[in-house]
Amino acid sequence: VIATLRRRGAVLGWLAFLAWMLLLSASGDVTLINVAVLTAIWTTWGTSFNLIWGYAGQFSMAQVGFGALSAYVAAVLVAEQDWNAWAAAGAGIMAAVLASVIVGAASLRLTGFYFAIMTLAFSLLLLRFLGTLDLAGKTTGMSSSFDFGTLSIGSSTWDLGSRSGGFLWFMVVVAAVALLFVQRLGRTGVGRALRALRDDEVLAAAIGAHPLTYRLTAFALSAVLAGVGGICYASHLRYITPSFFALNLIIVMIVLVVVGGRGYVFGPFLGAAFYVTVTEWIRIGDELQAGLFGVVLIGVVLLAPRGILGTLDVKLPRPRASG
Amino acid sequence: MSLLPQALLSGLMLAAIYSLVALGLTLVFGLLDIVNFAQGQLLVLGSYLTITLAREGIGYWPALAAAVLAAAAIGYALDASLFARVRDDPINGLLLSVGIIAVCQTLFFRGWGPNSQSLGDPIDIVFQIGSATFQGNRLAVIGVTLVALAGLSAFLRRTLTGKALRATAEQSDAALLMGIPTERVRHLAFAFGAALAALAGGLFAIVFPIDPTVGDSPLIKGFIALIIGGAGSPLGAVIGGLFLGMVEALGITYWSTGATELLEFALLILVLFVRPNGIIRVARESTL
Repeated sequence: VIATLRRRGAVLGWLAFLAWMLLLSASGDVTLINVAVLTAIWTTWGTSFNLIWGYAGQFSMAQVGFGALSAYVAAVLVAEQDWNAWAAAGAGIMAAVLASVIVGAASLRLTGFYFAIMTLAFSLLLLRFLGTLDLAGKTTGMSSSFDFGTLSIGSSTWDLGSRSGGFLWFMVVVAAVALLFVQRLGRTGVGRALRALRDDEVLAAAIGAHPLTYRLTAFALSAVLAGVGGICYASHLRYITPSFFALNLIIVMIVLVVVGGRGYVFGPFLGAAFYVTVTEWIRIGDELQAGLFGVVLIGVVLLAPRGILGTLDVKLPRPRASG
Repeated sequence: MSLLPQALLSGLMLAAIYSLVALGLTLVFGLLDIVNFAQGQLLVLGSYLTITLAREGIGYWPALAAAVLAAAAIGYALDASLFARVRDDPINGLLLSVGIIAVCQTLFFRGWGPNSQSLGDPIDIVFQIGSATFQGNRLAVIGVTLVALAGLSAFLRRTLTGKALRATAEQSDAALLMGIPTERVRHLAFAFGAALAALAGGLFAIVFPIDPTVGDSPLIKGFIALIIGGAGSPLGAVIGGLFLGMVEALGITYWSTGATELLEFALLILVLFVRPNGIIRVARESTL
């Protein structure tokens, strides 16, 4: 049975993902729909971190910064230039990709130590910069309610901004595309090259996987997903200030990918479901929450550093070598 | 009135703080291969302990000394109880430091509240030279830092424990074979890193008001100083801190705060492209 479950891991993941969203939305309860929306958004955002860290082995703290950059670029374009929300979102994502290429080109040639520092410096300095920018409302922030319009197919319409469900399914589709993208990528040559570089850089480079090229590609792709995640998050909040994207959020990102299981397609989803359930549903220890997740992170690192999926992967018996 | 003397004094004061943070980071990274992101939190801890003890009426200097010693003990305990368990994979050490940040932030909010706290003005002297004024508290930050740097340098070069630290950083296996208790030396390095952060924090508190997130900026600046000066070199950390402090003070005085943040990041990118081992040749040769 376990061997079958193992082979069908991807299918199980998709089932869990859809069941989570369907059950929560079927409840019709505002809190639970909120839980589903945030799970979907964090799945997308966390997947961007999973791509660069779990698959490419580079510990990036820039994913929150990329999200903030995209959200702010989009919000400014909508507010000041009256751009269409889709075009503004596209421009925001481009900005994140550009930033990732600059930061990545400077630090991915060096050891992971430099990359981790550069990405954290990027995230925090960006926020301090935004906090001084008149255009972005300085530290008081600005509106970020993007109007993505209504999709109509035949006679049925889908209001992408509707809080009673339209927005939720929009976010679910975005998260599903992110998951599908990483799942597909894992099976292509690029995905294999990235994992090979993660596990043994010298060997992988010797058989022709150029480290900088592949890692930079992965970082740029992760910036696209991070930008999408940030815009979705801003769109959900409808109002953003630099402090929303502070160190706390970087820690949340790390916690949910570590807990779910880095390097597994559905790791970020599992972590997101856990994180959002605790913070938005059962609401354990309101004021102590940050500290609680700190303790969870320390505990997981000491006891099960591969996270939930990684621990299951190691503990469950493996199917006999056949594929 | 010229702004230059003021800006230079602020620059040196910032340089002192950044150097102390960068030096702590270098020590921990050199011996433990850990990027300790919790260094900023240890700094804030130093600030709060100093403020609280000084308010108890024991005076600023004894409070600072007690805070530094307490932080050293906490650093030793953190390494012995947490970081020592994950030596095989440095990324896990980094993750632990992130967890510690979250725990500390909550403790700070609970213990000292979200509002800024300040020390009052323990060093309320102002020197007037010509048209320029020099605040005593800034001079004190610079003076204490110079003494601490000289002390640390002498410790690393002259004492047996200091030599053990350097030997472990250079070749830990060989050091172990020579009978150096490398694990204990690593705990000690972490204790020194924490003490340096707390010293920076205690000094920070006589110039700036302290709130729970005030450590983020010195942490980032410490990292930038470290990279600009050349990672792994104590002298480089100090020179990088000096350079960054001056850039920041002059940039903020004559330009704008936001632009200065961008400039610092641009400098960091430039250094990584052009001189990834740091800008100073001497520093590159002075490993731990």
